[in-house]
Parts: sequence; structure tokens; C-alpha cells
Amino acid sequence: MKNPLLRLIFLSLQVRFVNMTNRLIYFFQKLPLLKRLISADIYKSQDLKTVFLILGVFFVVSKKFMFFLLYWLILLPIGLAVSHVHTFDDIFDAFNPEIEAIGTFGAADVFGNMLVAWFIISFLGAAINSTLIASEHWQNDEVMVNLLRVNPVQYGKSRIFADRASDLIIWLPTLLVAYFFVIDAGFLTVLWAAVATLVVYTAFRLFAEFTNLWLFRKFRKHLGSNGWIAFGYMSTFIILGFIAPFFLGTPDFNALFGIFSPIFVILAIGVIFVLVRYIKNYLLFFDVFNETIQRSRAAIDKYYQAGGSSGSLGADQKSAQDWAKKLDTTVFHEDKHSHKTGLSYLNAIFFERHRQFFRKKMLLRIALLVAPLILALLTEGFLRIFISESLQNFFVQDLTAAEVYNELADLFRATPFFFIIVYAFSMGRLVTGAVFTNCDIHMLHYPYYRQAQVILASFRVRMKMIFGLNLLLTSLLGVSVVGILWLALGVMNWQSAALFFTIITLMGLTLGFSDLFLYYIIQPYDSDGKGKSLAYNVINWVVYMLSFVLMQVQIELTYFALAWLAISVVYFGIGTAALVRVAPWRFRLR
Amino acid sequence: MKLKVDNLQKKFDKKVVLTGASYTFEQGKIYGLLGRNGAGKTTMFNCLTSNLQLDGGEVLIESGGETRKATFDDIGFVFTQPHLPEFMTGNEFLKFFTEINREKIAEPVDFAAAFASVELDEEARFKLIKDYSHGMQNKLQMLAFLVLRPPVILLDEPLTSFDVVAALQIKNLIKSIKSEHIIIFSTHILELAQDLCDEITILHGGKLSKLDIDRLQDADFGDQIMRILSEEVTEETPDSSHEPAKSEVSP
Repeated sequence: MKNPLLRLIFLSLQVRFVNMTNRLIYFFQKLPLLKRLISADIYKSQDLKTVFLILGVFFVVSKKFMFFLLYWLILLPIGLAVSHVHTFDDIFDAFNPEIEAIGTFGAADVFGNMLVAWFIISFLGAAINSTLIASEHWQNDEVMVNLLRVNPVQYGKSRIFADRASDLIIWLPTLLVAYFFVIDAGFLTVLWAAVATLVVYTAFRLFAEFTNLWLFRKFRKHLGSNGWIAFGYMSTFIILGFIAPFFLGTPDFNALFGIFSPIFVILAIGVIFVLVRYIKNYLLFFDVFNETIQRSRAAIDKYYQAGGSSGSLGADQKSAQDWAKKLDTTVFHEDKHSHKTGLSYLNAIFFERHRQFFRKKMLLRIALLVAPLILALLTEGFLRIFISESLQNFFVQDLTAAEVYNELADLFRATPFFFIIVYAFSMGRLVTGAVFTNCDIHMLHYPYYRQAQVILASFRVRMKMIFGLNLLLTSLLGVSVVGILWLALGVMNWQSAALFFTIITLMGLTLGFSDLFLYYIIQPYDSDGKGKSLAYNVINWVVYMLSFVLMQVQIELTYFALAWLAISVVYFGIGTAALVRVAPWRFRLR
Repeated sequence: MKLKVDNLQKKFDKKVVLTGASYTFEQGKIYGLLGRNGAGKTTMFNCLTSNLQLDGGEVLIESGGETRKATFDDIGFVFTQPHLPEFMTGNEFLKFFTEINREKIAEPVDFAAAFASVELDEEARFKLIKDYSHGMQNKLQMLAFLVLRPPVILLDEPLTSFDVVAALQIKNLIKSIKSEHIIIFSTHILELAQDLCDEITILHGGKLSKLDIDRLQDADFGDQIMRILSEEVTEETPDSSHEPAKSEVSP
């Protein structure tokens, strides 16, 4: 391949697909069953990479087609709305080429309006979507420019021209279809209209490239440098694109055919030549790439810092880590826990130093749990004072006492629903995330820390802490729910309330135990404190499915209490036995 | 007392790191473990301390005429990058460490004296570890093992990132305790090895071999080491490490 631009395009595609291939292999290697079957030698396989290259090209092209299809589907409502579609049948009639007009619209109108919207968003608003500044492939660019050290000028040009060429190829069929409906003429005319549109489109897109490159040369910034400017610019043209067709009305493309006159197209070609020349002579591509790479990398870092990489577990870890960094630089002469020894001492100091951290997390949970009750109380007070009504009048006014008690019984039968709430609020995962990130990640380097007696001792101390925290939360949940029911219904079956209270408390204890048990048995974190294991993800998924099922379950409180008690006892028993046997060889750094 | 490593085998997937490494280390000596990057020095240390499981071979302690399997109690590992709980103060960590290992510590520990022995002052003692410099963390790490006094102390590149004064302090500390311990430290700084070590052990091609002690102070010591570590590893290479007392690596 002698042409340097083509060679770079091909190299860039190779890098992208090799990267994708390696990531896929790495992902499959992590799966429990497959990892034994996939050896590291597979990374050397050129045949596999060639297959993926071909599949990848197909995937990229398909993705672009699908994107364009989606784009048109998004524009479709505009076309339909502007064309006054009133009924479901109108939609089908709009696409029937034999029907020129139904009432005030037809297919031509729909596509015509879509084209107007497309023109405003993608032609006029193209400046925010230029190839290098809106680079979704910044990591690929980083490899090419910073690691492989390709000529950045050649590479920049190749990226721009490759994008424009792929647009031409992929938009053409879509436009042919659209113009078939809107232009009342033969195939050659439709083809000419599509080609002419694409020439004009290319001119606009190249002008967008030019705008950003010129801005960068002048100000070392472009339209994508500031997120707010980019967002504002993009939003403006999207909104204009959606609104304008309503004001402009449906264009008559046959009348407008003059726009696609050869003269206009020749002008567009001339503009293209001028812009291509500017781009060919542009020398600051390296700086543009670096700006995009640094900006994208900063955004990714910010995302990971917010715990975005591993969901809430990652967020808990990250916040625990940040908390540890903010611990006061002070001299701790007084040892409040000097009476404690060993693991009790270690964990006591840990929880002492993280007290504010856990307090903050608890306060949020407490606020969420108590807020509904407070709201109900305030509402009751307001109703009584200002309207001489009560909540009961809204909920059970027309019910007899027996019916109210039945209603109450039904509500208590839905107790399994609260599993998801207790699970969401459980402090177990937060505590394990914090203890791993700030304590165990260091201590697990020492063999004595992985001994069975040490693990059990530490487990007991941490279990007590989690139990205490969860007990407080489930108590507040119980009080809140019972309080709201009492206010709403005016009566309470205190026996059922006590049973409800007991069940959710037990749920809190079981889930707390489960979180800690899984932490010791699976140890979901890797040694740099990030990520979690597939097994842990699967278990979490199972728990969520279980929560969903339990949300639908209605069961007598007594039966549910007995069932949950039995499950808890068995789980505690098996879990403790497994802890002693399995944890010493599972609880280590991955 | 001796530490015998016999036919150690370790691999990660298809990458073989240790292929029958054998050696005998003796009390009262400081051994320098030299090897190229990726040779397996840290892996070997992790295997000795049971942080990693060996695929084969044994680690034995010979003491008082008896030979037994080494346990993690016998071996202390001082990491290149200290692993310490940063939310604790130095004093708290040492207190925790001594309590966890109280059965192995013969005498009660005077914490003030212990900290003074590694030149960590009173203020540092009660400061959070998160505010310790790298050198201070290393000293605290070493202090923990000085208190514990395991028979074998492994130091993984111990003087990386140390300033001149701290490096000298640590070197003197190592020399002061060598008579009661077997000390093995990995390094790729030849001058450090020459300065500190009584014996040089080379890990190359997954095997351990001894460098002739008389060559330690040779002017072309560096060249010798380079030649040895640049040799290609073949199947036919004689396994000289099974008789470490007699075999010597020819330059």
C-alpha cells in the first residue's frame, strides 16, 4: 500500500481491531469455565486477529449503518408531526408511495421535513462533530500518535478523509430511499440529487473540520475544548433542527431542485478543494490529538474517581480511599483502645478512624428511611390543623373496621417486598469495601493475616459492627413503615408489627452476614483495589433477581418469619463452617 | 541454622519462573540475590513466605541437628513497597504486630527503644503511617521484623528510593543483626551487593547458583555478573545449584 494516507488508515484499523480482539480474549479468559481452556498463546494467533479484523470492519460498517438508521428514526417523529399525522393508519399511509397525499400530507412531506431537520442538525451543526475533536477513538489515536509515533500530520489527514469517505458511502443508500419519496422524478434524477446532497454535505463537514482546526490554531482551543460550550452548541442545533420544520413547512423538493443544479454542486466542489488544501497544509495535528487525548483521559479519570468503574461498590471503595487521605495529620498520643488486643485492637482503631466516614453514610440512609415517616407526620399535622381531616380519611374512609384490619393484614403479607430495601441499605458492602481498601489490601501481604484463627477473629469483630449498623437501619425502617401504616389506617395490629419488625431485623442481620461472608470467601477485589470478580457479580445478580421475585410474593407473616429464620440459621451455620475451611486459602490478594 | 531450598518449581500459566532452584543459606551471612528483571527474585521470596504456592520443591529449616519444613513464622519478608495500614500510627501498628505475634516474641518490647533503634523519633511514632515518608515506612516495616526476629529475613530491593542517610542507616542495621539471622536481599545494584553481602547468589534461568566469594571484590565483578546473567539458558546447562557449597560459577 503505497499511499501513506491509506496505509495509515489501514494501520489505524488494525490497531483498533487488535485492541478489541485482545480485550475480548482477556474478558473470556476471566470467565471461570473458559479461562482454563484459553491459554495466553492465543494472543499470538495472527489468524484469529485476521478474522477479527474482517469481522471488525463488518461491525464498524454495520454500526455506522445502524447509527444512521437510528438517526433517521429519531428524525421520523419530526417528519410525522409536522406532516400532521393524527392516527395510527396515517403513519402507514404516509409511507405508501401510491398515496400522494392524505389530507395535508404524504410520504414526501414526512421525508421532506426529516431532510430539513437533518440539514440543520448535521450540516449547520456539524462543527461540533468534527473528526478529531469529537473523537470516540481517542485511545486508538493515543496508540498511533504517542506509542507507534506515526506521522501525526499524515495520520490526522487520513482520519478526516477516511471519515468523509465513509460518510459518502454509508449515507448514499439512505438518501436514495429518502429522495425516492420526496422527488417526483426518475432514478437518475434521484441519484443525482443524492450525490449532490452528499457533495454539499461533505463541503459542510469539511468546513466544520476547518473551523475547529482554525480555532485551534488561533486560540489553542476549539468548539469541543469546553464541555459546556460543546453541549450548548450541540443542543442549540438539535433544538433548531426539531423546531424549524414546524415553521419552515414542508419544502417542495421538486421546486427546490435548483439547489442541486450543477453550478451549485460545482461551487461546493470548489469549497471542498479549498478546505482540503487547508487541511493538507495544516501542521498542528499533533497538538490537536494531544489536546483530545488529555481531555478524554481527564474525563475518564474523573469518572473513575467518582466510582464509576465498578458501580456502587467502586464508589464505596473510592470514597473510603478518599476518606483515608483526608484523615487529619495529627499526633495520636492517646490510645483509646489500648485495653484491646490483636484483631480487636486493629479493627477498633479502623472503625474509630473511619467513624466520620461511616457516620456520613449512615446519616444518608437514616434520612432516607425516616423521611417518609416525617413527611407522613407533617402531612397528618397539616391536614388536622388546617383542614380538620386526617390521612385516614383519604385512605380508609369508606372501609369498615374489619375491612381496615384486612387491608392491614394484606399489607403485612407483602413483607417480602422489603428484602430489596434492606439489601440496598445494608452497610455490609460499604464496610467490606472500606476495610479492604484501607486495611486488608496491606495486611493480606502478611501470611499470618491469612490464618484461620485471624480470619475468624477479624470476622467476628467486623460482624458485630455490621450487625450494629444494620440493626439501627432496620429498626428505623420498621418504625417508619409501622408509623406510616398506623397514620394511614388508624389502627395497628401490634403483634403483626412486632413480627414485621423481627423479620426485617433478621433480614438485616442475614444480609450483613452474607456481605461479610462473601467478602472472605470470594474476596472480590484485586490487589490494586479495583474491580470485582465475575463470581461476585453473578451473586449480586442472583440477589437482585431474588429481590424481584420476593417483591411479588404475598405470604402470611408467621410463615415468612419461620421460613426466613430457618434460612438464616442454615446460612449462618454453613457459612461459618465454610469460613473456617475455605477462607484461609480464598482470602488473599488477587 | 540453615535455610535449605530444594528443587523449587514455580510457573504462571506457561511462563516458568523457577525450575528446580536449590540452595543452602547459612546463619550469620548476608546473601545478595542477583538476577535480571523478571528472573523471579520476588516470586521466589513470595514462595518462601507462602504468599505464593510452590508447584514443587521444599523449603526446610535446619537447626540444632534437626530438619523441618519452614513455616511463615520462620521467614520475615520486607517488601520493596511497604504494606502498612495507613490509618494507624507507627506505635499502634507495632503494638498490633507484637500482640498478634506475642507467642513468638521472647521478651517484652520497649516501644520507645525500638523506634529509637531505627531512628524514628517520638513524633513519628505517634503519627499516622499515611504521613510517613517512604523511608520511614520501610524502617517501620523493618522494625516489625527486628522485634519479631524470625530466623530468616528476606529484603526485596531494600534500598530503593532511600536517601543517602536512610540507606546508610538501613545498611548498618542489616549488618548489626546478621549474626543471629539468615539475611537474603534481592538487588540489582552491584555496588550494594559488593558492599553489604558476604555471598552472592544468582537467580538465572529459574535456578540458583553461587558466585565464588573471592571474586566479590574483583575489579571486573560487574562484567562477570553481566556475562553470567547474559548466558542463554539451555536444557543442557548443568544444574550447579544442587551442590551450592561446592559449585561455583565460572566467569
